[in-house]
Amino acid sequence: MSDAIKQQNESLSTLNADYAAKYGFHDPVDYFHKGARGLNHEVVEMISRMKKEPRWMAERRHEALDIFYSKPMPKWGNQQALGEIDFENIYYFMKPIERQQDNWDDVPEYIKKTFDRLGIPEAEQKFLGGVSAQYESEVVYHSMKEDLKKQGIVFLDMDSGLREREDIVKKFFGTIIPSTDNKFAALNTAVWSGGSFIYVPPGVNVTVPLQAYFRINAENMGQFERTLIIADKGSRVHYIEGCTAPVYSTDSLHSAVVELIALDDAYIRYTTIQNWSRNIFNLVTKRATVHKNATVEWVDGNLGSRLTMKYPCIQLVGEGARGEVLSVAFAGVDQHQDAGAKMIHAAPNTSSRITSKSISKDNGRASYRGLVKIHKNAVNSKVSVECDALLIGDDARSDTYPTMEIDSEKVRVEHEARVSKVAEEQLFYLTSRGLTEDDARLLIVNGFMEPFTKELPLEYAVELNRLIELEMEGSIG
Amino acid sequence: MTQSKAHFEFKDIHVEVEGKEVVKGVSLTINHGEIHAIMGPNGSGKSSLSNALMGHPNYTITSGEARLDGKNLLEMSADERSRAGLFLAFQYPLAIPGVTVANFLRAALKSHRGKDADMSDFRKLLKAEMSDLSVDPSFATRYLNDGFSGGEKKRVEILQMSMLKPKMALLDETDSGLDIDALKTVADGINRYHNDQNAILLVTHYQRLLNYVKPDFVHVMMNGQFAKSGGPELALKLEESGYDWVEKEVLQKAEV
Amino acid sequence: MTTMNKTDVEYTIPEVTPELERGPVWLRDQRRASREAFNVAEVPPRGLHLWRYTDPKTFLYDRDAVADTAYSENYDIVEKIELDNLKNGNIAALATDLGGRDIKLNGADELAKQGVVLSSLSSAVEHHHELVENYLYRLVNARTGKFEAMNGALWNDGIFVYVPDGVTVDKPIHLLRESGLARSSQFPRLLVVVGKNAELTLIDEYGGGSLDENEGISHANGAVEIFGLEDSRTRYVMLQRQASAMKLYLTHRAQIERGASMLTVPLAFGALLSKENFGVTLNGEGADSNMYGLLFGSGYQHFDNHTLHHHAADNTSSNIDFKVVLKDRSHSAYTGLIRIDNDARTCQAYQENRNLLLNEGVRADTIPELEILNEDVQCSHGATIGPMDPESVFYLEARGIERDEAIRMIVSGFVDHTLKTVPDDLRQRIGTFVAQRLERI
Repeated sequence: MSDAIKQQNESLSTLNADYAAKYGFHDPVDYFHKGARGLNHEVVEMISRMKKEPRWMAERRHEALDIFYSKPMPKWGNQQALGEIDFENIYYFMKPIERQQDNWDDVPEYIKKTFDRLGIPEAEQKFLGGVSAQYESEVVYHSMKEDLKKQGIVFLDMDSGLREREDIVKKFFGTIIPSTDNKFAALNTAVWSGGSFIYVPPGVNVTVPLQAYFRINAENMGQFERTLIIADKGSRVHYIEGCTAPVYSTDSLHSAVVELIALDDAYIRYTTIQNWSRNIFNLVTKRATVHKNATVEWVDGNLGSRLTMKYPCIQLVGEGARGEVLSVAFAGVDQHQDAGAKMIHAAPNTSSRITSKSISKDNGRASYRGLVKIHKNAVNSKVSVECDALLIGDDARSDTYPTMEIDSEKVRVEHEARVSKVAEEQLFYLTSRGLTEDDARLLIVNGFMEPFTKELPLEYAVELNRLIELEMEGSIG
Repeated sequence: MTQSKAHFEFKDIHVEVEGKEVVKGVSLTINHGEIHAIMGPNGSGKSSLSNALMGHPNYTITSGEARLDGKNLLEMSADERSRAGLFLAFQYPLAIPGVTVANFLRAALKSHRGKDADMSDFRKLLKAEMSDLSVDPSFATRYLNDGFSGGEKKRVEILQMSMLKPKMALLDETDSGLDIDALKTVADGINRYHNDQNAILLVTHYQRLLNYVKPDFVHVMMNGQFAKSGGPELALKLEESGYDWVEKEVLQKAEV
Repeated sequence: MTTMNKTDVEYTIPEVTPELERGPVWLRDQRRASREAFNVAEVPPRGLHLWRYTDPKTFLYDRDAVADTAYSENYDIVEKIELDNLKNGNIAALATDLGGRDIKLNGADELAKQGVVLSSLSSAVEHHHELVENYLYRLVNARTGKFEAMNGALWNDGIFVYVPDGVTVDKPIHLLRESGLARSSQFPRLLVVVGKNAELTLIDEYGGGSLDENEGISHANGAVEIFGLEDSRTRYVMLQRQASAMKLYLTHRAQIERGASMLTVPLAFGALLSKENFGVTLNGEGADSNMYGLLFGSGYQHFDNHTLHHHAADNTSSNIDFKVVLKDRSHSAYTGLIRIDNDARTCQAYQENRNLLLNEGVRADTIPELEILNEDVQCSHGATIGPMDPESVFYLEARGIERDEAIRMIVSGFVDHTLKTVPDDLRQRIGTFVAQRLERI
C-alpha cells in the first residue's frame, strides 16, 4: 500500500474536531482601515487611493461601479437566496495591516495565529512552491521559494502585481472577463482587492504548486479578490486556493473574479477548495482562454456557503486546445450549491470534458448548470459531460440544467447524468463487515467523491475528506 | 448437548422476502470447531437463510431465534452482528466504487477492534493474507469488487474473513464461479481460518468444495426446510444421485 | 426590474371579439379571464431558457388578421385517404377540423353505440356540459402562459373525445386538422377524457398552412388537454406535417391517474417554425408514461420542442426517447425536464435525446434537465450529438447503394429502435408517416 494511502488513513482516523472549533473562530481586530458600510463612488475612490493605483485602474473601477448599478440581478437561479443579499450592509474594504510581510515571523500575531490554525506555513514547508495568504481585503503574507524567482516566475498578490508589473496587468486585466460580463464581475472590478497575480515565462515548468489562502474574518465583510494567471508559451503551472470564513450570524459576500490565459502549448491547473461558513454568498466568475494546443483544468470543490453560484468557463480559442472541469459540490442544511461549467469551443480539433459530482443532504440543494457551445468553425471537436448526483435524505434536492448548443456538424457531444441515493445493498454489505451505518455511508460518499479527491494534492485530499466527514456528521453550523 | 456448549444456533427460523415465505422453520445447532454444510437445489431458501441471519433488510425473519455464544443476534443490526463475530461471505459481493480494498478493510478492522490498527502491522497482515490467497498486491488499491472477476470477488470475500477472524462464518456459494486452482486456494484459506474456537456453515449447491473443506454434518434444504441431515457421506450421495431422491423421501414421509 | 416597454406589446385582445361572446356563462368567464391574462402578461423575456431559441414575438399576431381563407388543394387528397381508411376499417372514426372552425365527424355514430363521444367542442359544451366544464382549461389555461391564455380566449371550435369507464376503442380515432393558407391564423383545441379502465388510441394530425413565405405566413396556436383516469390506457400520436410557411405554437398537457398508462408519440416533421410543448403529469400511484419523439428537419426549418414528465405520485415511471435528425440549415432545440416531487417516492425516470446531424450548417441544442426533490428515485438521462458516420455511408456506397439512399438507410436505422418500441398496430402507421418524411430527406 502506498504512503499516500497510509497518511490519508492516519489523518482520517484522528479527526474529530468540528468546524466551529477549527475555522469558526474570529479574531477581535483593530482594523488599520475599515471603510463604511455600503457602496458608492467615494468608497471606490478611497480603495484606489489607498492602494496608490495608477489612474487607469481607478477609472476602470468607477466605470465598473456604474455597470454594476445598471445591471439587474440574475433572473435565473435561486431567486429567494439572491434576494437576501443586502449590498448596502456590506463592508467593501478592510485593511488589517499596513504593509505586507514576506517573513512569517513579522506577520502580526493574531493573523499568524489564524493561519497557523489553518496550517498555512506548515503547508508551505511541506510541498508548496509559494504561498500567499489573504485576510479580508489584503494579502498579509507572501512568500516564494528562491529558485522560482530565479526562473523568472512572477507570483505576487494582485496589488503588488499591479505596482511591479503594470505592463502585463494593463495588457490582460479584464480582457477575459470584462466588467460588462455580469453584475458580480462588475462589482468585483469596482472594489477588487488582493488576489493573486502569476506570470510564468515561456517554457518554464513550475513543478511545485503555488498556493493562496483566503479568509474572511469580519462580519458583513465582502471579499473581492482578483486573480490573473498568465502561462506563457509552453509553460506549466498548478495554482491552488483554499477559502474559509468564521461562523457569523449575518451574511457576508465573496465575489471573486479569476482570469486565466494559457498561451500556445501551455498548461494551467487551477484547484479550489472552498469551505465557506453557511452565511456566505459565494458568487464567483472564473474564465480561462486557451490557445493553440494548450490545456486548462479547473478543479473545483464547493462546500459550505448559503448560496454558491459558480460556473468556471473555458474558451478554447486555439486549434487543439483542451479544457477540463472537474467539480464536486456538497449541499448540506439550507445550502444551495449552484455550480457547473461552461465550455466554449471556438477552434477546430478542440476537446473538453466536464465531470460534476454533487451530494445533497438533508434539505440541501445541488444544481448542475452547464453550457457547452460549439461554434461553426470548431470542427472535429469532442465534448463529454458527466453529472453524478447523490441524494442523502428525504428532502434533498438535485437539479441538472445542462445546455448544449451545437453549431457544427463534425463534432461528438455526449452527456450523461445520473441521480442516485446511497444504495441499501451497499450499506448492508459494509455494515455486515462491522461498520456502523454512519461509517458505511461516509465510506460510500468518499468513494463517490474519489475521482475528484484523487486529483488533489494529498493535503487537500485529506482536508476534503475530513470536511465531508464533518458535513456527514452534521456537526457544522 | 447442553445449551451452554452450543456455539451458534438458530431455532425455527421463518424468512419472508417481499411478503413471500421462503424459509419455513429451520433449526440448527453448531458447536465450536464444527463445519456444517447446507446443500440444496436453487431456490430452496439457502441464500435467503444466510442473508436473513446476517440481517439483510430485504429478508425479514418473521419468527424464530438465533444466538451466537448465547447472544441474541436478531436484536442486532448487521454491523452489530458482524462485531459480535458473525461473518457472511456473499454469493454476489457488491461493488463499492471509489473505496479501495485497503481503506475498506482498515475501516472494518477498526470497527471490530474499536481502535485503529497500527499502520505497519496492518500492512504486514494484509500483505501476508493476500499472498496466502494468491490475491495480487495491486488489489489493495483497487476499488472494492469494482471490475473484479467472479473468482477475484470470492477470494476477496475470504480475504476479508481471514482479516476479521469471525467466530462464525457463513459462506454462501463461495465455490461458484471458481476454477479448480482458485477453488483450492479458497479452500486452503477456509481451512487455515478454521480452528476449534470458531465454526463454519457452508451453503452450497454442489459437493465440489466439500472435497477440500470437510464438513462434519450435511443438511439438505428443500422448499424452505431442512429435508434431511447426515454426515459427509450425504454430500457424496447427493452428488451422485441428485436431489430427486430426497424429494421423493420427503413426499413419502408426508404421505405416511 | 424595468417596466415593460410599449413596444413589448404587439397585440392585445380587444374587449369584444366573436369568440369571447361564445358559449355559456362559465365558458365566457374562462375566455374573458384568459383574455385578461394574455393582455397583462409580459412577453416572456428571451433570458428565460425556454425562450432562448425562439423569439416569443413570433407568436403575437392579430386575431383580426384571421379571414376565411382558402385551404390547400392537397387537403382533399389527405381527407380521402383517411376516409378510405375509415371505410376499410383501419380507423374507428375520422374528425376533420378546418382552421379550428369547421368540424366534421365521420363514424361518430358508430362509436356512440359504445357510449364513446366524438364531437366538436361547441356541441359538447351543449350536450356534455358537465364533462366539458369539469375538464376544459384544467391543464392548459391562463396560468400556463401568455400564449396558452391567447388560445384560451380565442379558440373558436375544437374537438372533444370521451371514452366511458371500461370501454375499449379498439381502433385509432383520427383527427385531421387543416390550417388555412397564407396570412390565416387559427386556434385549434382538443379535450380528451379517457375513463377508468378505458382504452383509446388517437392520431392527431396537423397539416396545411401557407406554402409560400412570399405570400405570407400562416399561424396556429393549439392546445391539447388529455385526462387518463384510473387504470386507463391512452395512446396519443401527434403528427405535425404542416406546410413550409407555417408557424405553430402548441401546448399539450396530459394528466394520468393511479395505474393509468400513457404513450405519447410526437412526430415533428413540418412547419417553418414550431414550438411544441408536451407534458405529462403522473398524478396517481403506479402511473406510467412513455414518450417517443421523432423530429426530422430540413431546409430552414426551426424546431423548439419541450417535454415534461412531472412525477407527482409514488411508484410512477416515465421514459422519454427523443430523436432528432437534421439536414440542410435546419435547427432543433430540445429541452426535456423530469421533475420528481418531494412526496413522490420510488419513482423511475429515464430520458434520452439523440441528435444526428447530416451535414454542416445544421444546429442542434439540447437541454435535458432534472429536478429531483427526494432521494428515493432512480433517474438518469443522456444526450448525444454527432454526425453521420462517414464510414457507414462509404460502406453502403461501396456495395452499390446510392448516397442518398445510403443516408436514408442509416437514418432509418437511427430511428428504428424507437419504431420498434411502439406497439405493433401503431408501428405500421407511424412507419408510413416516417417513410413519407424520409423521402424528402
